[in-house]
Amino acid sequence: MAFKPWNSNKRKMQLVSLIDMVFILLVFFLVTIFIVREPREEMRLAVPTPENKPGRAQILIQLLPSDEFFMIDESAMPVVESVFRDVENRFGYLSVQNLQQKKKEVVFRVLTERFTYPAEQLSHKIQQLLNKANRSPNEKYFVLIRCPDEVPYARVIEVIEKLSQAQYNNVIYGCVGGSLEEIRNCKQIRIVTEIDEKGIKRDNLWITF
Amino acid sequence: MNLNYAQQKKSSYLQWFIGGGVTLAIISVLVIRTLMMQGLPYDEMFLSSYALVDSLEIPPRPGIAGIIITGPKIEPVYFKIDVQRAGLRKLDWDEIVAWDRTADVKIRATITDDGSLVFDEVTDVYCPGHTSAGRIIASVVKTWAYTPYKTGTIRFWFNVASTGQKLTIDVRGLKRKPGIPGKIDVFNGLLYYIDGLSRRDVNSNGIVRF
Repeated sequence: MAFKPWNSNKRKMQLVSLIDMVFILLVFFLVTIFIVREPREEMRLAVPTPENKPGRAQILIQLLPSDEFFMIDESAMPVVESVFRDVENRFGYLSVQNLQQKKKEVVFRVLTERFTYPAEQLSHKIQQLLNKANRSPNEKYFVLIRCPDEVPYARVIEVIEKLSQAQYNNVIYGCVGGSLEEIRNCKQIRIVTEIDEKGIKRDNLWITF
Repeated sequence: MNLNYAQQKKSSYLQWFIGGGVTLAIISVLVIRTLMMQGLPYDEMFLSSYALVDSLEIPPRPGIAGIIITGPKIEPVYFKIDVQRAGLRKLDWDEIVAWDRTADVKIRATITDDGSLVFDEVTDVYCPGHTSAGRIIASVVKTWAYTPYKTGTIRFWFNVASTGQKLTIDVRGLKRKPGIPGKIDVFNGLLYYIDGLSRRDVNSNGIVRF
């Protein structure tokens, strides 16, 4: 049997496979560099972020842990105005700061007494709003839903589901966390007359935290 | 010959050692990198180490700083002839012209809180030489009533002969009623109830002197 003679010159390292692998790694790094670049490019994008402004809405639904909800809309405005007048008449002797505090306390008490409803009435109230929205498709209704930490978020979802049934999709909603206590402890409750860009004058209820 | 073989063998081992080392190093880097990335969320996977020094400030959402409940529109009100009032009579300009084409009648009246027009036909109607036209005009004007947003003195000057403004209404003596909140705008509307008189023949902010 003829064996192949031992040729020491052939026992060299095979660099071809090593070069292949190095090239594959090179390609890998080239590709990943582009992937790394993309998020950096994204970081340079001017993404509009919400401004630190009060939430503006026509209707406020504050969910409460006690199977109740607090809901105010423009119908609260005359109540607040009359309470302010009443407080000014009765406590006019107080300093401006104390008078503001008094107004805030009394308005909060009156509003929570008048506009807090049992949870069973939520559907009815929302249906009333939907009927109103369906009657005027050109109007937009913005609902601010506030949910405290203690209340399961499922209740917010329920409200959203109901609001989504508006025929003309003209009921818009926004959700924030927050409790009724925050409203009670707010800095100020006041009525501000504003003129919008269309020149329409409105009385708005401002609750500043 | 043996020495050469040994040298070649040594060189071959060295090449294997270097090649293997480089390969192992690259593989190690990849393995370590993969392991480091495993625990990271996708967003942070590609952030460089210096980027971790910066902290992102979460912008406050609307509704956290406060709440604004938009109220109802505050509609302006119009101070104008209240056509709903009973007994209101309309003046016919063509009839006035037919009676007296040179009539020149001035009336000074007071608008009361309920919007009624009150004047004394003897002292508040000035119509020298045109008494009958003055009487007829005054009898109709007396029935006019306005929406109750302004009170005070209003003056009318019926100048039938004029080719320009045939009726001048002086409203400078009117003031908005104190009970109307300041945020409600009170505009002047139609201040006369006359047929056959176009708007360009009327100056509703003119000055009327007796």
